[in-house]
Amino acid sequence: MKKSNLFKIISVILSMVILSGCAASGGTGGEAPAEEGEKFVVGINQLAEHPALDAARDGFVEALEEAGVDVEVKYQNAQGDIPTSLAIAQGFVKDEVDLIYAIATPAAQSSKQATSDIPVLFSAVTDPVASGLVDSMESPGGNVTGASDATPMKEQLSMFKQLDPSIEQIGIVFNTSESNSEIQVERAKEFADELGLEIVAVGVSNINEIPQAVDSIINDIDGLYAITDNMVASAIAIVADKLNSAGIPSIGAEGSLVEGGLLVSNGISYFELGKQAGEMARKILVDGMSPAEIPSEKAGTTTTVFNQQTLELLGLDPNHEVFQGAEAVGE
Amino acid sequence: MLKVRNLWKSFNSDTDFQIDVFRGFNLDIEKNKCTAIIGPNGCGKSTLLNLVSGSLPVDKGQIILNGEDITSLPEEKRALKLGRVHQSPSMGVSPSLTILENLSLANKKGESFSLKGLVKKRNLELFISMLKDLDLGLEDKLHTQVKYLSGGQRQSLSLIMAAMKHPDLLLLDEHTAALDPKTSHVVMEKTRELLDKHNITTMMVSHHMGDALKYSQRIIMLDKGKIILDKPSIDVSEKELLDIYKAKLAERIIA
Amino acid sequence: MNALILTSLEQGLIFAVLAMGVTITYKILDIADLSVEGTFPLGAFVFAKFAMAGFSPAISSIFAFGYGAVAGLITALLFVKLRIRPLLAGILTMTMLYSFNLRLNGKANIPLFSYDSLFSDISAIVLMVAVVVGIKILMDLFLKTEIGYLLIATGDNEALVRSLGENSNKYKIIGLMLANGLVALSGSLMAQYQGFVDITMGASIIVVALASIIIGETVSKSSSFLSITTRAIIGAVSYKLIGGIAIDLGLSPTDLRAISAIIVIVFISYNNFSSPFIKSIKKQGGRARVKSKKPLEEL
Repeated sequence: MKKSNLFKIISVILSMVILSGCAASGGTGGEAPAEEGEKFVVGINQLAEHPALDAARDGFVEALEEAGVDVEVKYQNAQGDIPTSLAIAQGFVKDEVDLIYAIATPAAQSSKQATSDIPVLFSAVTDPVASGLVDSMESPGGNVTGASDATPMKEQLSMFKQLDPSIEQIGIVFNTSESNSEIQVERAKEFADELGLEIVAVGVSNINEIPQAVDSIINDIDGLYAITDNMVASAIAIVADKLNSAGIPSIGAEGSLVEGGLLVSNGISYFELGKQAGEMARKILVDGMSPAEIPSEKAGTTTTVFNQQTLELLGLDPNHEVFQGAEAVGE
Repeated sequence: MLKVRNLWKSFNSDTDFQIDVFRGFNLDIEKNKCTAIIGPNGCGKSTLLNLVSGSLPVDKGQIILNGEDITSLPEEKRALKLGRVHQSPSMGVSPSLTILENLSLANKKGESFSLKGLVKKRNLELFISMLKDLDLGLEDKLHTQVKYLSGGQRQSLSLIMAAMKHPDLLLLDEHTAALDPKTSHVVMEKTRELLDKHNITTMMVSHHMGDALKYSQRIIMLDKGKIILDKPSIDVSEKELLDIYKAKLAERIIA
Repeated sequence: MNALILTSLEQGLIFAVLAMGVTITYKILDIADLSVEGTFPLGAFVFAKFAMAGFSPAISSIFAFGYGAVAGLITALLFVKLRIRPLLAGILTMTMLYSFNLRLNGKANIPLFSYDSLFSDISAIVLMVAVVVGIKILMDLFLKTEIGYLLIATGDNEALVRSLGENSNKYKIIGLMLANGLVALSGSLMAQYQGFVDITMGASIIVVALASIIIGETVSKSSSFLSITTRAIIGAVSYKLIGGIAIDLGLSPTDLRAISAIIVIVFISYNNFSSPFIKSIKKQGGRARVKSKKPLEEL
């Protein structure tokens, strides 16, 4: 191939990518048309592409729309790269946005690092205190506050005893790279003590290790609890398969895991969580409150969902109190 | 100067492909002379050089240099007493460094290397005079990276570097085989000048019978790990060598 | 645009330390050392450990360098003593470091907001320029010492090193220790810059390092007055600048990775084709000659 041709091809590819890139980011930003008297500019710093994070973003935007707040949204996604999320935050600071909405812990931490003046709202952060984002949930004490996705774990774990009081050993598979996961495993162990359960936790660092991890504990457990863990969520189908074949009941921290095959979940909706954050944004933008005055929240509402097929596979009684008032999925 | 005693060496031992190169081989190399070692492919001449230098370990036997038994010394320890010029012009130099830097490195052979600066102004004159002796114009290229030099220039540099610290024994491993005839001649002449000037004991493996005769004082021909000719070079003619060679080749074909 | 350029410069300078480190293994010693994916976060986690224990940021950063050097020693010993191939040795060290990093503080993510960092009292750009220039000068000086030259010779031609009576393994060990020390230092600087430590910090860091080195190589390729360290610095800063421009242009970040790869391809092709480009012009002259029917002697 002649060198001049190769260069032409490379230039064309580059231009195509750049053009499609501009178009794409223009589309997903949900930018309101530029009008006179545009009130607020909000920068969304999302860590990665992920259904839960996407839902948290959509809920946020909808909450503001429903509240009739006039916003221009600048959406940026760091594709999992922390230095990029830092650069995104710094870019928002330079642009003097009125508020930064950070989705996921590293994005929130980067945003906090980038500014101590501009209000930063977070969601999809499991433990805002341990992550250094707020001093305490009740008094955030800075320019950062938000909605934590900490699950109502105690209620969820107690469902095991509701299903069958003889259940004792609970398995948990988690991704050692996700700090949120470690935190959840520790919390689970604390609650387990109170509930008369024992946690058997196995960590993985790669999605390929998950089937073996399940196999390694399947004979020792009476039930499995799936925390909110991005890696496990991606592999939930195979985890559910193994559990259901072995007749082991499973509880998921959130609904999408039940859709993937787990038995039941009494969990949060990231969309609703995003809406909570959106409401907090309204307070800051419209009511002029400062983040330090707004306590950080946990998920306000929970929904119980169960998987019809799994229920039947495990031979359980659909009239059991655990499933009362719950939505059925996966029919 | 160099004594090889009862040398045994095989390759691929205990397999179907075992090759016995030396079986109880003996050799004495005299001081201050250049001994040429020639022979057909597979006769063991390169292996012999590698055994002396330490690149290959012996199976059995002793190698004694200047009265000291170096058989169990590792290659880099032996290197302090030896000098070696390889067949490939790239093996004796550091291509990304300049001539000056290469010479500075060679100059430190035998000393301990520290965090002091390598290139010292006080050595410049010495290096320049060494390069001038080569008569190749390299003294004007002190700061040229060696990778830009021709094969012949690099071999000449390798030669100086190998001989610089007056080694007990200099090993020339077919060091002009990769050069064109003209350059090869230049390098051989420079080699002779160097050896004469400093009286360095030399073992020269060569593929070129003419050069071997011309530039050495003693010629040894090997075949299948045995010495089949060992005479002062002036007593041998090229024709005589060629005849023996052909006879040996014929033997092989028949065998 | 200014602030984004500033950010890119600052991050670029932090990665310049990484690039200078990887230059030692990749360019000078010609060893593909993948352990950097573990050593970079190692520096961050070590910094966190010592900072939280009450040590000053400067001391904590030095500790980071030290632990990185030890990690480099492990990789070196794996392939020098145990004869494990360098590529595999690096991967093994990286794998071991993953668990080690998690164990250091027991957490995968550690906020550092309430601790002093080197950036607390000085502006980031000033500090980073000082740090990078300082490291560059030290490295340039080192490469002019006797040991430094042996390091270069080891990467060039191990036989030569041996012929000088030296053990080339010793210099591979020195090189790997230095390189990984610098990589860990870079990791500790990044942790201080972003305000927290996260176990995912090392992912794809080798791409950043190699891209920086390759871009640096392209800059006046044949000009030897630009030292190897300067090229690493230029490469890292350019890499981050290009990334920063991409963000500023509003490019969908999904494309950022593809663009990084394309940038590297463009630079490599430019590197490879620029000489034949000139040669092809000469060739056209040659073709004209051959077309003529004049006898060879006249040519």
